[in-house]
Amino acid sequence: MVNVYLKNMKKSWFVGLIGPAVVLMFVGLIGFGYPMMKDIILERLEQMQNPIMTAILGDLGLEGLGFTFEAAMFMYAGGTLNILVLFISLFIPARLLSTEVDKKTIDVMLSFPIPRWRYLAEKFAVYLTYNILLPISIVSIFVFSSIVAGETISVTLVVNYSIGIWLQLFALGAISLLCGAIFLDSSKALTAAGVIVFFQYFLDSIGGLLDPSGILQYFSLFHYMRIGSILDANMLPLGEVLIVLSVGIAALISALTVFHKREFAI
Amino acid sequence: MSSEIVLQVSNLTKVYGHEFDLRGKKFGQRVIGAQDVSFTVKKGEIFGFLGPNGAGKTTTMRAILDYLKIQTGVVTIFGLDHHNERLKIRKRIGYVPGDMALFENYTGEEILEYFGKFRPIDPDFLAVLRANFRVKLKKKIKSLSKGNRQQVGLIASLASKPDFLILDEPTSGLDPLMTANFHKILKTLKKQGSTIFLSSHNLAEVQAICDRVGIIKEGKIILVESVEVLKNKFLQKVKIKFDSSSLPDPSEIEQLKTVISVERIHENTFSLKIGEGIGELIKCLAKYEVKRFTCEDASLEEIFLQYYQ
Repeated sequence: MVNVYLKNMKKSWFVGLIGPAVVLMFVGLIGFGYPMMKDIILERLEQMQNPIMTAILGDLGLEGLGFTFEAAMFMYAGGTLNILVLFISLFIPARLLSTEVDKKTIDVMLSFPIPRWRYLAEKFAVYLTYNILLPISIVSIFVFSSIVAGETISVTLVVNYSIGIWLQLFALGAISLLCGAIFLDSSKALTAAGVIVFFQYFLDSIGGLLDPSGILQYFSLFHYMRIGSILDANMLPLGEVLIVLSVGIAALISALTVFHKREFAI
Repeated sequence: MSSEIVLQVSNLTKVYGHEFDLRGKKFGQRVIGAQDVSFTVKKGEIFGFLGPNGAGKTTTMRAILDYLKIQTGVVTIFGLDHHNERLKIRKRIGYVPGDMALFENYTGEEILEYFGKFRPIDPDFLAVLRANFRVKLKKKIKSLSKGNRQQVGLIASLASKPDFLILDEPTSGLDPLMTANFHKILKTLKKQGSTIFLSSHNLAEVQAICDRVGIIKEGKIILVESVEVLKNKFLQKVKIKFDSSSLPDPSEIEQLKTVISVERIHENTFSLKIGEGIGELIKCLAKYEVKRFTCEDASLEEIFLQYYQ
């Protein structure tokens, strides 16, 4: 029934584990080392209020958490995840199709009795499934490090934040997938997806720096479901969830439609 | 062979690219891949599709498989529209693309298992394939030579014993022994009712296994005929040795409608290529003293070259 999904789950386990491994190692290091490095970490937290740092790492929206263990954890997790989301959502979905086209394995696969849209959907589902490990690893490392450090955290906040990260991965990944379905060629697909995803990151970073309350940031998916807005809403802000989900679903449907209808020249 | 038609291609035209005028200047480029291509493949036959590189063979095959959008024309396989009912069609076909690529990190067995999930494998026929191809299916594809990869691809594509096989230069990379075994397999499939549509550069291969051939030139079908008829009807090679005292003027023979070319290979020996109607030549030769007359069918390669020159 889901042969393409199962085959690709088996094939992609290593790539799928890289993101969670980075989170576990890097955020875990900070969590477990917090008691020893508390002063340095809190000093860094203060530096994060600097607009230049905000421009580089993106606005993490940590103002509401003060100078606490929880804020420190979100600072490192947020910085790491911003970069991870950027690269995972760009490199994996944009190349889901183009690697098969480059290697010409798509030729045989298309001759099988499986609708094209479903073939692509199953491949994208693998990306989404492995990305579930990312929120799980975030929640796990937050909970475990807080126990080790003897500090308290809001598990609800971490869970909501992690779900937000997964939704961002979904929406940005769907945009990259659409670029892959349109261009098919690896370098063209990556370039197009790179321009769109990096431009959004740029809008979020520079928009926050130049015009914090302006309209620029609202065009960036990185702007939504930050710690600050989750804290304000005391849950995942539904309006933001709706925006990110709508963009993701629209991009995914477009990608599946393009792939289903397009032709495959030599 | 039955009269039931498995593949029907009618007036298929595929043009690549776009061309448009802007203030009298032309932009873009249109390349004709296939133009008004029409032919049929009957149930239980092996149909050879011939043409040099760039003639439109692969374009036609990919258009038939609905990989390419066609501008005009109708393609039906098993009476079903190749676009609207492609899933139904794909349950019953096998396809071996030219330069077949498989998943590098998979073993042959894993590829068979994976492909088998889309089209169930016929275990008895798989046993036949295993016996005829000598490739080690437990090895990863990336460790195999080009020929062995091709063998794995052929086994994987044929293992479901499809009703209709579309093969794009299937023997490229195979050694003569494996090629002969593959031909045996195709003949077995044919006997059991499968229909085969194959393109090839290897004219000896087409001559050996095909029932009919279609020749495509610059995107257009220029001939569809059975191999036997083609060989008998269209080209024969004649060698005539005259008595030295009774030599004809070569231009006299050349003028005959049936004669395609005349070559004087010795002082009193002529080599002729003739088309349909040897009677006219014999009437002409009756005036001369002929010491030896030999006639043989031209090979498909010679016929093919004749069409392309």
